Amino acid sequence: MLTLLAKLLTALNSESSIRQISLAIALGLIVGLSPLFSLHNIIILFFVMLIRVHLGSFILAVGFFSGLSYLLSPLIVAVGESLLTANSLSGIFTALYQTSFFKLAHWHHTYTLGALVLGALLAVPLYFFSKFIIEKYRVHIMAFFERFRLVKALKASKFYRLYLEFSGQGSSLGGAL
Amino acid sequence: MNSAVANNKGIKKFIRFQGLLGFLAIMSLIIALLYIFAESLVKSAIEQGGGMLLGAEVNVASVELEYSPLILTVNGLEATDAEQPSHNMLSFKQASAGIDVWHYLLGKTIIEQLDIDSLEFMTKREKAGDVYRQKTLDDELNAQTEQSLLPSVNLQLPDVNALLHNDNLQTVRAAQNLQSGYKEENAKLAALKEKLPSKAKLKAYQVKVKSIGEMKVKNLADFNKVKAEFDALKVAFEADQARVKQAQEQLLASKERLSNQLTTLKNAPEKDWQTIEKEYQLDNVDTEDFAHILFGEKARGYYQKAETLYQRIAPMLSKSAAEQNGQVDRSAATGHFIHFDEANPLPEFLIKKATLSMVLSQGDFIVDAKELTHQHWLRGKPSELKFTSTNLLATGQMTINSQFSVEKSGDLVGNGQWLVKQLVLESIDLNETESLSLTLNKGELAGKGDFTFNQQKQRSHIGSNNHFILESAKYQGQASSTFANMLLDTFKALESLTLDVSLDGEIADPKLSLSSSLDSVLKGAFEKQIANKLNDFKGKVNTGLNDKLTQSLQMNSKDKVELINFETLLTDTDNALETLKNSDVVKEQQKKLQDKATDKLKDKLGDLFG
Repeated sequence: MLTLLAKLLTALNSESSIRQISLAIALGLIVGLSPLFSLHNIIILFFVMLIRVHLGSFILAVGFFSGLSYLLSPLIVAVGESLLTANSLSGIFTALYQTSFFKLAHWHHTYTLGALVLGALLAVPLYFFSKFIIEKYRVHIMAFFERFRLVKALKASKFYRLYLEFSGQGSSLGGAL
Repeated sequence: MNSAVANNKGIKKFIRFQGLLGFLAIMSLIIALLYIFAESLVKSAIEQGGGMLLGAEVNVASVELEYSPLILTVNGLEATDAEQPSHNMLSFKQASAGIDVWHYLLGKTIIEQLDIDSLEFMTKREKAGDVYRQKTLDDELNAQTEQSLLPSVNLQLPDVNALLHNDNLQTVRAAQNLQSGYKEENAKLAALKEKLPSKAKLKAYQVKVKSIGEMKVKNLADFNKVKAEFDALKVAFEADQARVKQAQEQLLASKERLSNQLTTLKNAPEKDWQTIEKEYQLDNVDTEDFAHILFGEKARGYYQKAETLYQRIAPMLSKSAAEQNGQVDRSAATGHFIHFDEANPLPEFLIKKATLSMVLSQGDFIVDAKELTHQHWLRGKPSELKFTSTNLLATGQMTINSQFSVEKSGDLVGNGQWLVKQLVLESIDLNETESLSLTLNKGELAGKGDFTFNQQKQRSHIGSNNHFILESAKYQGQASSTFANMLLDTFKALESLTLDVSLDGEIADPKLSLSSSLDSVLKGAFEKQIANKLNDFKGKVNTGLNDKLTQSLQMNSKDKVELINFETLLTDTDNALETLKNSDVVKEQQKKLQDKATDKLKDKLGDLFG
């Protein structure tokens, strides 16, 4: 876990593209909110692996948003329920229901559809918000936190050594995955 | 060339092809882990899901999975009974289910064939199971209510004298009411009587009127004096007449009240008899409802067991249908599938064929089932259940054919037929009251019947007709009253009897009707021994009640005469006053004065014309 956190911090402070990290967080939101082994999660995972997305950030985002999904589950189910039972959409869903892919993806399940729709909708603003925060972090926030005693104590810890190792400042293992 | 390299670099900037290997590696890992842990996961899912459903601990010894085709085998399942954690509500040695993988991935559980071996109920657990959800005590309370509904005939007739000396008898109370009624009304009338003109006063009125009529009227002034005196007297007459009228109105009200009380008193003996019949359940004895008395409790007991089982299963089926129609709020946490119209719809859960072998203390049963689901309307086929046993209570043979279906609205409808033969019954307690204990030592039972049920949102209904024949029966028992002895002797002489039991009404509380050949057998004996006694008793009680009525009427006869006399007095007084008021004394005096004036005028005219 420490290694993973170190990797994220490395990525945040490294030359890794801000867009790669933001995209990883946004996709992590969709995967994290949805049931782990849903079909669209597998497809997202495929693209996460294929395109240059920061994996550490993705894994952490999935972990974080999976935890958050327990708190949001009533909202997720309500979104799915309202979509699947909306009279205006029943024609579309009935047509989609005739395809095996729709059923295989369990998009006729209130939780799965709710999580996908909510995740997809929130992913867009989250992408830009993450981009903004990471930029700010690199310029201002990091400098701000550097002044704290806690940070100084952390710098003396094993975690910081790992961080240095992954960031390439402590060893030859540098860069993001 | 340079352009291709540049393009390749551009693609590589966004794509990492080694990621594909990573993806394949991850998916392979997941599949491998699922393969390794699938059986443990299924075992855990059954234990936790079953626990949540039943509210008590569910244990599974092991789970085996075969993948082509997918067959799930569950070994050694034990589901704790939430009411009695030391026992299993159900348990079985092995169950295997062939699952349609494709439909399972699409969100539906379709089981082609389910086999359950050695299903048992209420077996003792090695260790008491955990209970997650306590069951309410409704069932026990219902059981107690059923018991209290059963009649327990008091076979001893009550003592006649004790009955007739009961102050709560309506005859006694009505007589007391009539007596106090006479007393109160007489007091009211006596007070009014005081205010009425006496005979002397009426005589004085007559004298006065007479004297007015005899007054000498010589001129108009004398006549005016006569008129004034009579007018003054008339005012007194009218005042007295008003008092008479008030007394008459009171008399009318008194007569009405007393008349009502008298009617109540005359009807009281009949009502008292009805109360006595009801209190001592003599009416039950009178209708010879022996089958209900003797077998009603047993029949209700058996029905209640069946109903308890039904009430456990039916809500699960109806609830599932209701949820399907979005009638239940499930927005809480997990969500659910919403299915849309399709060409060949399938239920969310369906067992196409199932075979269960059950081992019960009553015998071994084989259950063959088809189309087990909670969404019958999708395939238009009802669930079919067939229970058979060839060793019911060691020798009996039993068959139950039943089918049921849940409609889209959530209503559950079903019907069935059953048949039992060669069922040897031993040591069955039929009746256990103070005066009679009756046990069936041995007998061979055969029977058949049918049933229909309908569970709707607002109401439920069951109808059932059942016919039993008990042959080669031997009874024993003890009796401590004449009637009970007669009953016991009749039973001992009986070799066979038939019993018809029918149910009709709400599932939770149906009306139970029983009739038996026993009724006609006992009827003769009853008429000989009991009817005479009962008629004698009825005669004595009714004679006693009628005596009380007569006594009361005699006691009040004096008051009645007084009332009649008072009525006569009022009529006479009123007539006398009316006569006096309408007296012609004034007219007569006027006529006298006119005659006198005429005579005087004639005399004067005679003198004038000679």
